[in-house]
Amino acid sequence: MIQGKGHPKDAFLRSERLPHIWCPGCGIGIVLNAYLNALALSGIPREEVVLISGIGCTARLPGYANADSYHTTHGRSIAFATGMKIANPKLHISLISGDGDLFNIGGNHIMHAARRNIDLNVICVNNFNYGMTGGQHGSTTPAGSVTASSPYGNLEQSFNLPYMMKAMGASYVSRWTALHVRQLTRSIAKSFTVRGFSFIEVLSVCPPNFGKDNGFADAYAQMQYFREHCEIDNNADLHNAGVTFSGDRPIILGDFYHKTRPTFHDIEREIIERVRVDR
Amino acid sequence: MKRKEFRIYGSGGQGVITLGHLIGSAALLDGCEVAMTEEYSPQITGGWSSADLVISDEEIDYPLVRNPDYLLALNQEGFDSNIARMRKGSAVLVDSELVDSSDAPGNGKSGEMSHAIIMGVSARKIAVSLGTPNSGNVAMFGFLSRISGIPTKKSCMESIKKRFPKRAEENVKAFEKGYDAGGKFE
Amino acid sequence: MIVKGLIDPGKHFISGNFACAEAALIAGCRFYAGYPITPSSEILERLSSRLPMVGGHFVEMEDEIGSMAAILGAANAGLKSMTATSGPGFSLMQENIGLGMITETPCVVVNEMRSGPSTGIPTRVGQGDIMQAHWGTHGDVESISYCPNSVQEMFDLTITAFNSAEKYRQPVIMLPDQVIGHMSEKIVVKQPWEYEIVPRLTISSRKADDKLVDFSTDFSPMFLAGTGIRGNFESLTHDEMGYPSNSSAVEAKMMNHLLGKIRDHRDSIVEFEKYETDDAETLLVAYGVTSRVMERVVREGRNKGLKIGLFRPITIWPFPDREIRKLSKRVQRIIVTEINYGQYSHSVRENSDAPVEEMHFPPGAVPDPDTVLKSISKPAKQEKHRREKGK
Repeated sequence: MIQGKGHPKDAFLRSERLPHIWCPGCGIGIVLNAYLNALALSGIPREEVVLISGIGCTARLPGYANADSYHTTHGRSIAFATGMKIANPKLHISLISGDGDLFNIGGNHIMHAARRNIDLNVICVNNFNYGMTGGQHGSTTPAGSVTASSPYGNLEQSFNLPYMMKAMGASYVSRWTALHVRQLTRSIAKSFTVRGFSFIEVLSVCPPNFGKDNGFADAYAQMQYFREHCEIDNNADLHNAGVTFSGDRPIILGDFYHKTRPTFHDIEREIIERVRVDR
Repeated sequence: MKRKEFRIYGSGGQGVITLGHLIGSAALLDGCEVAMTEEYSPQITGGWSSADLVISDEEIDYPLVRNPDYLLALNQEGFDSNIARMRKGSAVLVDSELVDSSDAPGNGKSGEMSHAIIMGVSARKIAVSLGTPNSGNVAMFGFLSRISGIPTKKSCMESIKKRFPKRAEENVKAFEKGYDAGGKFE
Repeated sequence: MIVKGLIDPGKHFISGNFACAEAALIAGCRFYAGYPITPSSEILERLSSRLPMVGGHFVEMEDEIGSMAAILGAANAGLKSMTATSGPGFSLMQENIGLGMITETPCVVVNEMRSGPSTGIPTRVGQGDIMQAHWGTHGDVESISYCPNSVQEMFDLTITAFNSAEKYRQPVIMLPDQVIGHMSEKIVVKQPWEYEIVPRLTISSRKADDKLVDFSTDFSPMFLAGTGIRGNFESLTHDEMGYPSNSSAVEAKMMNHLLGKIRDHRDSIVEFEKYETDDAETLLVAYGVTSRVMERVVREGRNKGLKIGLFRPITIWPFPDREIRKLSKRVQRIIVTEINYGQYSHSVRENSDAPVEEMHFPPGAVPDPDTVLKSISKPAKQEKHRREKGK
């Protein structure tokens, strides 16, 4: 066995759990790397860092980070985190989970957490399908895409996540791809400083499922598509920021929205201070 | 005191449930056991509501009312829908302005004699005259206490003061008026 | 320790739901997440007002799935937590009750039984969630479920439920029926220091290769978020490090621990009450409001010379199997009376040497003692099958 200096992120990883479960070419590892870099930049004491996820490929990410990690039930991570953050507002809670987990089965919870302005950092890795169960279509699968459960082309329209999350009341909204690592890292670091609900969408690749069935021979091909078709526009009209792989429209990325308003915790603290009688 | 059963029935907004709580808390102060159940129509206002109380010196097993010893009818529907089950020796207390009991069985006009004694008090009128139109239920509380002795006046007063700390005085007045009105049935 | 803001010691005339809320505060509950549903909404309303008064947290969630998830999240941040619901919401909570079981998260779930299935009769009594309280979530669990039959017991058992949740580290179910929740009765509240309150056992520090949980002991401390433990909370089958595993050997070890911690302590959990059972020939089994009816039946039956008694399980689960077995050896028949179409009777029959009859009452009403007594006074029948159709 080759003895080396180890990986620079060793202190942030549960190296005893490696190798990870992700397929070659998967974008999730890139997000893990970006997250850990952002965490290191942030200087947040590690014992205050909590990672929470639901079920799915991305939801395995917190389990590899050397911090308190919570692998909950499918779709319920946001509700679990809502309880945890309200109970202890000092915690720095990040949710890193997939599009299916956060927006299909968990859609109800995420919109209410944004509306309540729970101070959570949500990173949604969007691979446009259900990867872990074999590549079925979901609410983020672009219309017309072929998947394991849409053999004739997806007949449903997909969600435009940044547009949706801004409308639901998020305090911070941005979108990058697994190719835009530096921008993503900066956005994650920024989201740590945002008081309130922050949302980052990371467009990613799923080579053996979505990629293979939709004209991307491998991960590189889909990354190449991102490279050629992405356009950064921080002031984009989010209404037009839906994602398509048809080649006729750019994929819009950027640091779209940042506006703070009182969080659930701010308002709750005021109420408690006003009415409490126990001391 | 052996087990006694009470049914209070009226319209939503008349304070039926509140009256139940007043009676229950006062009976507790008298050292009794109390069980109270409530029912109401789906409409919050404008519908009907009822409160059933079991009061006893002994531990209460079956907590529901089957054969009321006292019916407190705060509206016509309360009277009409319950009068048939009132047995001999039971008492029916009505708001005489709001309930027409002249056609009731036992008044000799129709049906079988139920032998329930029907007693009226102008509870709402008392409340209006005191300038507190919502305290009709408390006047009925006084009326009941005078007629049945359950709960005792002393405990009733205490339960009123506890329930309405800021409006104790006006409610005590309504209680007294109702209590006095019960005098003529002694 | 004297905590201000708790219900005053002494006598109170309050509803079962209010009693439950106040008892939760005494037990140390400082987090509630819930969704309004009849007949349990008064617990939610009361705690929305009372929790901030004692520095606690309240959140009305978007549904019962979220409510259950939120109380698990709060529990893992260190607070004693609770939710309350009724049948339709209890069905939605089953998913995350399972999460609480596999992750050993202490919390209390109040399920107030109304008529069912589905929406049923929301405002009226039922006892149809008896089996669901044990077998509602998928997979194998040992349930701890308390079934109060008075407002005083609603108060006392809520405290017991919080204590059991802490001791045995799992979600504990309170299973009152609609009548008990809505009924007002006298309760006597003791001085705060007279209540035993079980504190949470937590991990204070952990070296990188220390186990997160020790499957060989029944009571392991739990790790709380933000205390430097760097633990992994895992909904997948996991090993003692908290890491997921596909191994059936690991699964067996974990399940032995999860089930064993309840089975090994069954005697300290099981609670029941016997009434006039010493010379009884007919034994009634009843819980919740039905047991109040049957108490009356026994009293009146005894006046008429019937040798009749009542067994009342207070912990519906774990099932008081040994107690039923013992009684069944000396009675001629057992009649299980419940406001459903036959649920607890299955477990009673499984544990009885005497013939077991079922007396069902349709949800929506409390059975009438006279009617019950009349039907019991008839000569004992052979074990009655529910379906007697045939050719």
